[in-house]
Amino acid sequence: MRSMSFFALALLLVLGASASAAGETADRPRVFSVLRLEIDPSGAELSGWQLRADFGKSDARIVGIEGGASPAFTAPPYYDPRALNGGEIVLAALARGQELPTGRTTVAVLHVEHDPSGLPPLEVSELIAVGADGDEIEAAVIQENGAE
Amino acid sequence: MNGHLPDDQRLRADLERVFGEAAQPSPELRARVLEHARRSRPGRTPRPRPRWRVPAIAATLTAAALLTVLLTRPDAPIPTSDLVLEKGVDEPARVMARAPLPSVDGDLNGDGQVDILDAWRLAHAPDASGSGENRAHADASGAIASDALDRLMQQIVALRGGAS
Repeated sequence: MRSMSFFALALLLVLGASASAAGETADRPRVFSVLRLEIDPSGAELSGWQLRADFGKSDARIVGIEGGASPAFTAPPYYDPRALNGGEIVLAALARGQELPTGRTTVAVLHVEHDPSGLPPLEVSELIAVGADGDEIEAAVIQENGAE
Repeated sequence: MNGHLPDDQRLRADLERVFGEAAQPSPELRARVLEHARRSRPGRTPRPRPRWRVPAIAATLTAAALLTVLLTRPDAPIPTSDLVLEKGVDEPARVMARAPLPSVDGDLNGDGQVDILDAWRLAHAPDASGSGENRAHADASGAIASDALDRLMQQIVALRGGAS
């Protein structure tokens, strides 16, 4: 009988915690923003790119990914679908077509869910840009809000 | 009695002569003594099984059976490791299911890392036919048609803790 009571109490605690967490999530206001990722290859032809990033300690998460504006990068970049659950993400794309951008160009558009305090900056921990000859080139990633 | 008998046999014979044949306890007496012993042994009182035990075990087994059926049926959810991206030109990437392909090394430039530089090399490698045609731009739509390249790109973007 004591064991049964303990089991019932534990079940109630688990159910209560789950309901509480669900309630907090539902009550927490969330907003969505668009974050444009641009790469500046400093005059070199950009033939591909790879980027590793996260939102640091923020609970913001990417909920959608689109391609960029340049004809070479209009297709959405590759990514691991598990990254849409939050945390780190790796994006990568190869240029399509023969016309490669040489200036600052939008390579991806991210849709981000975050709290109303503002869109946190994407913390880029790795950027690899590929030139027309397949070698790595110097490049900088720029976010829509100007953070670099 | 007999001088050649061992001492214990002589003692037994003497005792039998004095007390007669040893009396054996009746079966009824044995049963009562045994019952009393069982009752008086500390900590050995049989505890009745809790009534919820059987339903709980039955529920657990039912849940396990349901999970097994759900996960083995043909339209069961596909593990994330089997998900790949279908590339579209004008629409966001869509998640599609695909049978797992054999694993590839992917480090084509030998720098110890599998990254976009390796993908570029694979995309620009000559065809097996020797035509030298750019594999990444092989079809008219500009889509990357090579399965190997597609898999390598997935390997590059796979999050740590498992391949996607």
